[in-house]
Amino acid sequence: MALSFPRRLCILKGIYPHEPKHKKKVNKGSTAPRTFYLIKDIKFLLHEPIVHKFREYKVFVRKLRKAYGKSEWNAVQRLKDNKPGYKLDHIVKERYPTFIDALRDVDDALSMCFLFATFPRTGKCHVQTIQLCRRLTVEFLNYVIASRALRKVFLSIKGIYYQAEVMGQLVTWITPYAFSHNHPTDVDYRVMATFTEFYTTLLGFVNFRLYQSLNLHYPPKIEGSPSVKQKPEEEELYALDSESYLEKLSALSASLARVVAPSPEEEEAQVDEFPVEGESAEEEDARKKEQEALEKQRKLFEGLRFFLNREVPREPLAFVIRYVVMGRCFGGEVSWDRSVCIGATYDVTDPKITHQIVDRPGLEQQVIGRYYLQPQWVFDSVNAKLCLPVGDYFPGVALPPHLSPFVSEKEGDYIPPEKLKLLALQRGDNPGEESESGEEEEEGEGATESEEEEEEEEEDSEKEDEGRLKKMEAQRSQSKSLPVKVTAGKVLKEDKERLAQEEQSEEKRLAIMMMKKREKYLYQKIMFGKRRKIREVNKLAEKRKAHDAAVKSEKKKGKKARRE
Amino acid sequence: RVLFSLLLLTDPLDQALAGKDTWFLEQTKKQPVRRPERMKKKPSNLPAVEVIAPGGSYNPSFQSHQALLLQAHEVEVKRQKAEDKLERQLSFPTAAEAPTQETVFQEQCEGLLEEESDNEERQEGPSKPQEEGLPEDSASVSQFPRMAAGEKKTERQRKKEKEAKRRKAREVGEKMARLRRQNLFQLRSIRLQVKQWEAELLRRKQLRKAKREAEANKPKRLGRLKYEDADLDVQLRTELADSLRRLKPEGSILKDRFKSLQKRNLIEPRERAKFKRKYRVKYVEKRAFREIT
Repeated sequence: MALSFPRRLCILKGIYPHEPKHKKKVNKGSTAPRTFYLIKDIKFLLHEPIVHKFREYKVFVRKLRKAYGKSEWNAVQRLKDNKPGYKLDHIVKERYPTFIDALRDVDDALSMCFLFATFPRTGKCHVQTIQLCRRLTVEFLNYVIASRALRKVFLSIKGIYYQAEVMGQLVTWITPYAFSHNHPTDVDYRVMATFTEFYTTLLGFVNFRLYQSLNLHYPPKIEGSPSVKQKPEEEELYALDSESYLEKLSALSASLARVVAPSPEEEEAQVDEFPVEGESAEEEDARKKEQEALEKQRKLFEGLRFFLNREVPREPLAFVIRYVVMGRCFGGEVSWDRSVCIGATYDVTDPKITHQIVDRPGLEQQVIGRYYLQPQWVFDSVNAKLCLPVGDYFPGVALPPHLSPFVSEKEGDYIPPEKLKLLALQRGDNPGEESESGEEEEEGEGATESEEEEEEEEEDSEKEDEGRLKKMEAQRSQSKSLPVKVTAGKVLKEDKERLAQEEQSEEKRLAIMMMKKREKYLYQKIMFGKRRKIREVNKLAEKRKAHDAAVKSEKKKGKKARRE
Repeated sequence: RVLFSLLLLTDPLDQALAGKDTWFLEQTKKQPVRRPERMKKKPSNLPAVEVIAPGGSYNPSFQSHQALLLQAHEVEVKRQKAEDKLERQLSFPTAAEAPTQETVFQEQCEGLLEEESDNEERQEGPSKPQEEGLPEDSASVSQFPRMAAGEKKTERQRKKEKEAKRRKAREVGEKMARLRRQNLFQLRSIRLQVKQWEAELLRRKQLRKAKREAEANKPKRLGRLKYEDADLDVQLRTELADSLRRLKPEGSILKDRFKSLQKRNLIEPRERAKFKRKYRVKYVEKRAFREIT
């Protein structure tokens, strides 16, 4: 076999190079770095039936070259018709004995397929591969919509990150923005194509299984096809007959046909709860809360009708909105300009539209009764699991920052004020109406921040703790000496809290006293680290305040200048 | 063993075999070679898709953006430093810095002049011990006259040596026994020592484990080239788009994926093969071509 074949075979079979422990021993005494594979792995490769196929292919190439050389065109045609091919099914089966194994590896497959699907069909790689990738990714998106598995979306400068929970596994993938290709030269396209070859096979199987788990047809069938058939002339404008199916599917607007028609009761049925053994009440509570949040996220856009303007990226938005909207209310709740894509269900002029997604500064005519919003609102709302106040997202308004949902702050970490506001919203208390007057907001933020700082400082500085303890004791002794004339209920209540606090702090103090020297040293070190962290957080918060103030003053200046 | 995979990939040709006894299947059907267990382990624990830092958002918050910029800045500073160092080392000295005859001579004399001055200082100090040392040596030599090579030992000498040897061995043995007996009374301290030693071993073990874990996530050296992290994708404050429509994507996802594969030890880092011709190209005008022109 030629050298490129074993490399391809290794990638397909999941055999990766190995770094030897003793380079000298395996490299005939030389320490020069080389690529090594385990001998046993390579021996295992030789059992692969594909090896024979590769040999056949080599012979085929030789024969073809010969025929070309002799200008025997009939022979060339005959050979080309009988080009040997191979399948990777058995390798997928072998590499992923269970479905969960395959799901764990599907991150890579998805990212790669989404990437290849956006390639131009110009011969960097086979057009068939690109088409296949496109089909598979669209199928997967449709599955995520149908199963309502999306969790997070993040618009970054590289591409869009998604995270979905598929059968209990978190699957993260990245999709590039449309039309964003400069082909880097330092990437080995052949290696990437080989990986993609395998991943398309894998994704095909995974899709099939996922569709089966939801009782959906595979390959996906679009529900309510007769209505689409009514206007075939329109479809012809977009795509050929052969392509229209994929296009319709990729419009993500139609719901998929099920193998068994779903009964409404079935969907409404509550899931029985099985308490997991060894799970504490807290964990259970946390799980329940999470489920509630999920349910909330699912009902997020219920009853809303969206319209996407031409300039906004259709696919991600349609995907995210459809994902949220899907469920009980079948039928498109999102539509777009008819010139953008097939499958637009209603027009701009539809009076029932509640939200129109716009990303252009000047709007000629605005319809009363609908919000004009920038696309970020949709993504932020999905991440926050609630419909965010619309005021910040009107066209032309400076948008609030798009925070990464993939970051989870630990206790004591610096939390940016935007996130704090969001958290407050999620908790349900509205921190002042989202009015344009920024000063109020800032004051509110400042207050909350300073409160938190105080709390943290109190918690962590032990000296203060002890001081407070002494004070409390003094107070208590005083109260004992005083004649009892105060209403009993109040005092008792206070006392309870105070006692609990006291007990806690006392216990803490005793525990510290009981520590061994070594442990105490460690404890002090930890506490010092915590305090340092708080200090840093405070510094960051101050910086932020200064920055905000600077921005505001600039704005004011600008306003004044404009007035003048 | 899972004969029929859970992926529902069963071949229609195998339908007849479904539900048969395993013994029957094993005996009648050719088994595919089993995949070794070690291949189930991934070569790296890193996640397949690493999400960009929050500063990489298309509309980042001020702090996170600054944090990302700082990271990129640090990388750049490091690179600049390495470059500067190389340049400094390779640069040819200017006329002012270039060595003159005088400096060359000085350089040649450098060690010699210093040694002289050093020697003068030193001679006063260590002279005494040397003098003392010499007679001792001579005395030791005179006490035990060394035998010339090849000269034979007498019978007596041999016996004496043997005796001495035996005596010494006995003494050592006795001493050891005594010590062992003595150790019985030191049991407590010995136990403490053992404990300490075990604690030390445990500590080392944990250290080794931690090191191994830290190294497990590092890209290994798999080929001629070392893995190098790709540049951080960053947009400056001025480059950031004010709306999604105007966003200009940064970096290439394809390259990102490729680097990720390398980072997770799935493929070795390679550079593009350079095209090298074995022979010089020879230009010949074919006759057909010549006739036209």
